[in-house]
Amino acid sequence: MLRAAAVVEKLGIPAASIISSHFLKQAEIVKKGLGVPVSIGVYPGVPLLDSDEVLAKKVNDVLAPGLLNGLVGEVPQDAATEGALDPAPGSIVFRGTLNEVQDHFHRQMWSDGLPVIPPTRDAVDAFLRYTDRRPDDVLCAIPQEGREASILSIAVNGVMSGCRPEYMPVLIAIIEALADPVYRIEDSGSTPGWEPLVILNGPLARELDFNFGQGMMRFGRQANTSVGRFVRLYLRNVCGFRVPPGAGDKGSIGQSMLVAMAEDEAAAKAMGWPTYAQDKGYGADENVVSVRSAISVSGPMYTAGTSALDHVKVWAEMLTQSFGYWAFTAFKTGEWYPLVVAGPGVAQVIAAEWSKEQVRTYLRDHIQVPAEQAQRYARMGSTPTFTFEHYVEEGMLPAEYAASPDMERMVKPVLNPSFIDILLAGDPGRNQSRAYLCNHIQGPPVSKAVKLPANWSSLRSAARNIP
Amino acid sequence: MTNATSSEPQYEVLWPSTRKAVKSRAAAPRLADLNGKVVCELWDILFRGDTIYPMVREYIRARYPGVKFIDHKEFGNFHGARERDVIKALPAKLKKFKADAVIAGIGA
Repeated sequence: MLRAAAVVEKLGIPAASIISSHFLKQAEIVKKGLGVPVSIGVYPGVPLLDSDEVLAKKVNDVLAPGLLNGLVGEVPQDAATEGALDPAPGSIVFRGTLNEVQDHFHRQMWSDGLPVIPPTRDAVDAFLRYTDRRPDDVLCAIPQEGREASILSIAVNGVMSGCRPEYMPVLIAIIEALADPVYRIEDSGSTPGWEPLVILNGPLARELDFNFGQGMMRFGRQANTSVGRFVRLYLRNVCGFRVPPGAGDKGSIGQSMLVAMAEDEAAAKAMGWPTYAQDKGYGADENVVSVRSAISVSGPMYTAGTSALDHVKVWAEMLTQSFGYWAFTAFKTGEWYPLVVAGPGVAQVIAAEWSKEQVRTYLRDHIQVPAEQAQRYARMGSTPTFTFEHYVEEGMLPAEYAASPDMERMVKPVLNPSFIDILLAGDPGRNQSRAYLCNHIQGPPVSKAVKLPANWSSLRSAARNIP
Repeated sequence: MTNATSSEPQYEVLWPSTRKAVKSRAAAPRLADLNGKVVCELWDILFRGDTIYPMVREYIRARYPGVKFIDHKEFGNFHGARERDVIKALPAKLKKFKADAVIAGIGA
């Protein structure tokens, strides 16, 4: 609500925002990126855990007086030093030994807790050679602190993460995708604690040695691991999403960074299925970075049999079990994007009978949850006023979702088969798949083409080889 | 960590963040009195706002009986799938209702 309040303030109208006391530190970070000071009325504690009597007392004793003061009291001010003490981009901020650099970066909260590669001028310059863009080129003002998403900042965090210089075109495309307004990077610090997931398609995946086979989502391959780490470091250092003792990342429990993913494109081609990037409208030989949020990961989905239905039926059951409680977010927003990472052997059996479109349609029709469960969980999580009727009235859901008063009826969270993505990867020698779920409108799938520098070939032939 | 020795390499390192791209401006002037003023309510349909907003209204009305409130339903849910459309339409709606002040919530 601070973003809305800032819009109001810029219109010359005073606004006061209601914030729970446990969100004040995050609010301080969000305020930095708004460009205007805002007034806050504080609700002490968690409104969803208070009795009606306690809630009334807190509103009357604390919140309402705070809101009133925000409208008729003193004009809110930013801290006078806000942004004024920042170093100049590209400046040397510390000189020391390897251990001293680590300690300094930890103190400044510029690290994810693991040691970082020191971003020296030479190391950063090596990355900058892999782009035709200038170091001071700015992609955009990136939320949530409203800082410049510069090419230089991408290179510095790429070095720190343990990336190789030749990953630089991929790193730039990742930030372009994360900064796309559709992705809503500003919601990266929301309490569900979702994590960005990067997918690389195209010949670059093989050339840069991304693992798309057995163990592809494990730490262990430099490309997958360091690129995944880069995303988390960029979210901390440029966007301002930090867990305590920092602020800005309000993931209540959160989850660990995800290593970057790539697709077994040879397998897809052999069975006649389009790749993930082709599904997004790109050519078969284009290098494409895709990002999407991952709020939840299924268990391993083992399936057996010689018909498509043998496998896809279990997928539908396991997606329902893994993600069913989160279906209420689909009913509130109309958006819910599952990703099935299909084992190549399993996909081969399915592809012999069904197109990807048929798989999507089956899953859309067979992932179903009880209406009562969705409503009950929505009311617990955040939305005590949740009803299907409300979201039908708002036009978020088709009329059929409120056609029956029977709360035991089954409802489908995937409104459109095109919301389901399928990617081929994993162990070709095992009959296992896995599924990932986006956090509704927060981090929906976004793809960007990777732009290689004009001298890519000569740079690559001069580069040190991957051991 | 360990103390430095003269034989250890030294690293000069660059800042991993970037400068602010957003220039701050002053907040709107506050009101001297809410009597005769219009306060618009923006709600993200979260966290018991259906209970909290009426209480806030009552508290403010007890001190400024001439205040007028505009219900959140006039503006739509500014959080969620339609946030950007709702925010885009906000200036015209605030103008329509002759808004003097806004209460926005709820972050919890």
